[in-house]
Amino acid sequence: MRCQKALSCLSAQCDDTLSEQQRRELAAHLEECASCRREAFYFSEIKGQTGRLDNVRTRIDFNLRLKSRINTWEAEQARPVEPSLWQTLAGYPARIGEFAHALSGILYGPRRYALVGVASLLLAAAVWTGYTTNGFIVGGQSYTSQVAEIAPVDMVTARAYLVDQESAAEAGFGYLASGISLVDHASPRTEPNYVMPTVPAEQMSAQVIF
Amino acid sequence: METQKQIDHDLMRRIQRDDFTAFDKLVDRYKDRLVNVLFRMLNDRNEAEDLVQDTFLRVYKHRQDYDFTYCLSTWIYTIALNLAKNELRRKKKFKFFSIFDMQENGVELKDNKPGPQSLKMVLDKAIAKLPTKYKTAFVLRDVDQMSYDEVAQVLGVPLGTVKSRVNRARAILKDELRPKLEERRALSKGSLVPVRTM
Ligand SMILES: [Zn+2]
Repeated sequence: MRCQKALSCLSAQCDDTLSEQQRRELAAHLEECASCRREAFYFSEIKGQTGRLDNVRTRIDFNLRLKSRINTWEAEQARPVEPSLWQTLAGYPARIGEFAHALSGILYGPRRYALVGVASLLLAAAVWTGYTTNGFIVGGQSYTSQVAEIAPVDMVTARAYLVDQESAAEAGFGYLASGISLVDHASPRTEPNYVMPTVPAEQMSAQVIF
Repeated sequence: METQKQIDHDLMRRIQRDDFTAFDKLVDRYKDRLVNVLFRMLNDRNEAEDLVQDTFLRVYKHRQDYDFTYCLSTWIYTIALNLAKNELRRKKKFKFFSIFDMQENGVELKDNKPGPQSLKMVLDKAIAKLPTKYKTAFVLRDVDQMSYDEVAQVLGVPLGTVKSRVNRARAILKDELRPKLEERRALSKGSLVPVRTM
């Protein structure tokens, strides 16, 4: 056996995976070659020292922390999937026209269509940007898109309505006065899904007056 | 070997029936080995432990997807090593910004200890510096003491590739540690007078 061949066997020798014949040949070579003998010593030292390195262990509360993470995940799984207002509005851009039409039809008639369209776009944009204090003024009254509470029932059928004091009171929802609510159009004014209470005009970051 | 696989599979069947005690047992079987392997890969004990947590969380989440034709240990190790590789890739990307973090994380290796470094310390540092693909094969084989076949399954590469990667890693370490190893060899031959220990 030559040095090159002997050196290529050293790693396998550490693993004890040499054949009987290779083992004998290597042993014979190491007997007479000091240089390879030195390399063999290095390999076996590396192998031995690696086996004696300090092992890291998990902390004592490992299982407890894992259990708590699993509980959190399982609780998330159990909760019904509720689309956020953002998702719903983002997913139904085609409904903006309908939304605008509903607003204009209730309060001002078709001539105001475009303007109310802009208002509803602003509302959508305001909600889109994260329920901040965007708002707008319609007919001298102020409205805001600041969402106090989100409790969606069925956003697929949701539509927007402007609710004035009288009609809100009429419908038995006094607290909706001067607000904007997105309600389930299947049962309008009886099951409000979204309630957006008014805020003072100075808190608004966007206004549309018409 | 077969029995270990059998134990794992029995546990997994129970875990699939939402038996959390079985899951706890499985975690106990592998957590320390995994954290040790990932620590060697990442050089950061906290990160290693976080990723082992993530590994088991994934095992639990996907327990119904487990394919019993494979070794459970292979599946768990594959998840853990993929997480570690992602982490290393992410670190590499932000290396420029995190030099200080890395120094801080390196504290785990106690390389700032004054005085002469022991062979063990030098070896610790040399392993940490190995290129990832050699380090992975080396850590699984020589630190975790897996068989070559198991390493090949976990890494999804041919047996020959694993052997050559482990050899390469050992050769790099050997060259890196040459001065220390030489000291030791001389000592073992008695050409240096060793300090007598009690
Ligand atoms: Zn030789």
